Amino acid sequence: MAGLDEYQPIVGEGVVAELRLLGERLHGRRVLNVNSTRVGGGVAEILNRLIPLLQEVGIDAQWDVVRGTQEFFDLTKRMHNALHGKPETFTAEDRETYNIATEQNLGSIDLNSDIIFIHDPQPAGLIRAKRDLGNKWIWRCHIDVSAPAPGAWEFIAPIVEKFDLAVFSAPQFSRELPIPEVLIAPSIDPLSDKNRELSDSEIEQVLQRIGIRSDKPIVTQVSRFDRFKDPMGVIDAFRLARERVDCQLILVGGGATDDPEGAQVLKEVCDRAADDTDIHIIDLPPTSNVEINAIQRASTVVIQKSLKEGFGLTVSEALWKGKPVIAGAVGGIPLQITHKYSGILTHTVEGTAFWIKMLLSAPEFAARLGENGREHVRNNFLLTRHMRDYMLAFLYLENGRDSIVEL
Amino acid sequence: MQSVSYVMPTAVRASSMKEFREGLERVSLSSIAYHMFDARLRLEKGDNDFSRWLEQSLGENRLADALRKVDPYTFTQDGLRRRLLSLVDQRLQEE
Repeated sequence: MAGLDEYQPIVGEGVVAELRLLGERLHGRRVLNVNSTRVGGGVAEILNRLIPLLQEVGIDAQWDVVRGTQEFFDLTKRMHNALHGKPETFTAEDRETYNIATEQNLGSIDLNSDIIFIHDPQPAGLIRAKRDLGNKWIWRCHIDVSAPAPGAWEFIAPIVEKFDLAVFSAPQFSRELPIPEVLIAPSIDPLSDKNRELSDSEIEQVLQRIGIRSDKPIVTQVSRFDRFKDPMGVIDAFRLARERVDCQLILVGGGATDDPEGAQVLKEVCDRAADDTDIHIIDLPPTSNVEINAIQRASTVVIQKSLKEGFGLTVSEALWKGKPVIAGAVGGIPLQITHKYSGILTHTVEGTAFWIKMLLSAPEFAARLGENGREHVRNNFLLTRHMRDYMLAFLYLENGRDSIVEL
Repeated sequence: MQSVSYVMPTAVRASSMKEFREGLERVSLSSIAYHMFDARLRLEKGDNDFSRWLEQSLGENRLADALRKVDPYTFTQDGLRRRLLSLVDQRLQEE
């Protein structure tokens, strides 16, 4: 696995030196991360990369997961959806299920570290151990909890309020709490299969395998087949643009097979595309990282026409590849794109069609957007910045609330 | 909402213009921000650390003034580094 030195050519010597200096200030601190799964999902993906890097700079970073019954994980899944706004009801029995799982995990996880770093609601109940241990606890919320369904926030608020610090991804995802809160955006790993540099032949091989010819400009949207990603709107915008500029569309998503709604949306998308030979709909397994990377790199323009979005890191993935991106101005996307500087923000099908035409007809302007976007991602959305912010959060716990801290 | 700055010495040192230029190229953008933005609040009078050092340690008053005139708010972070480098390069070419 890549060490810190391998990031140096990408982010520069100064950034890596800074990480090592911060590591020295935190040398030997025991930091235990706890989430609910070792594989799958963005949180596990980032911890897999961050833990070894934190260890490399001298922090004794560890990672454990909470275990629970199917009933417990069904409850936390419902809680996750409800925190996102989907109506759900929580009963006294649910509370009991959560408490039983928490008790069992308290018995099996060693929480005797200097800092306990809890990710999302599932392991948050472990905070009960804080009173006896007297260590510092951080709650890292990876989800948008700004507009939860009634009852959902109330379920976890009494737990969250016992932490020393809460971390949110963006101001608009956060809530007012009686404890200090910090903002730490998520990140992409420039050395992962999804983002690393690919040779022309690697890209060509993938295109051949999925049956795409690069004989005309490629417009792509990478995302699950989900109504909030508006794949229908993408098809409509593409068709409007194609009346003026010859191009082809790739809609690539994954994991529709185990998600009933995804399968339904995929079917509707295929119906909408009908026998249009310029529209390629590709359903890949969730592990197809190199394939996604190659498709993004082969694209002329990348779309992320979301109607509702979390942070929307696929935008940073495309910008990192220097691609001009047209994206819906929702969720965390406006933090990644400054309109007409590092990409394009749109609100409608017609607006999206206009900018597809525009970017295909003005390749120099499109290239400038891509370059600016890549620099913005380099400075703000790579794993090294994420690592730095986590270390600063650890230092914040030790140094109190002064506005300037000399280390 | 509050911003908290963490300040620590890096290993980059300069005692001449040439070393200053090398350092400017190597340090992170946070270091440049610290010496160009935070310094304006710390030193007051809108000055920056680099100008003050160039003047006091190297007697490079003209370059110090040129750097002082740069409005850091009108650049991207990378753009600011490039602008500072080009001013230093102009001065080095005069020698």
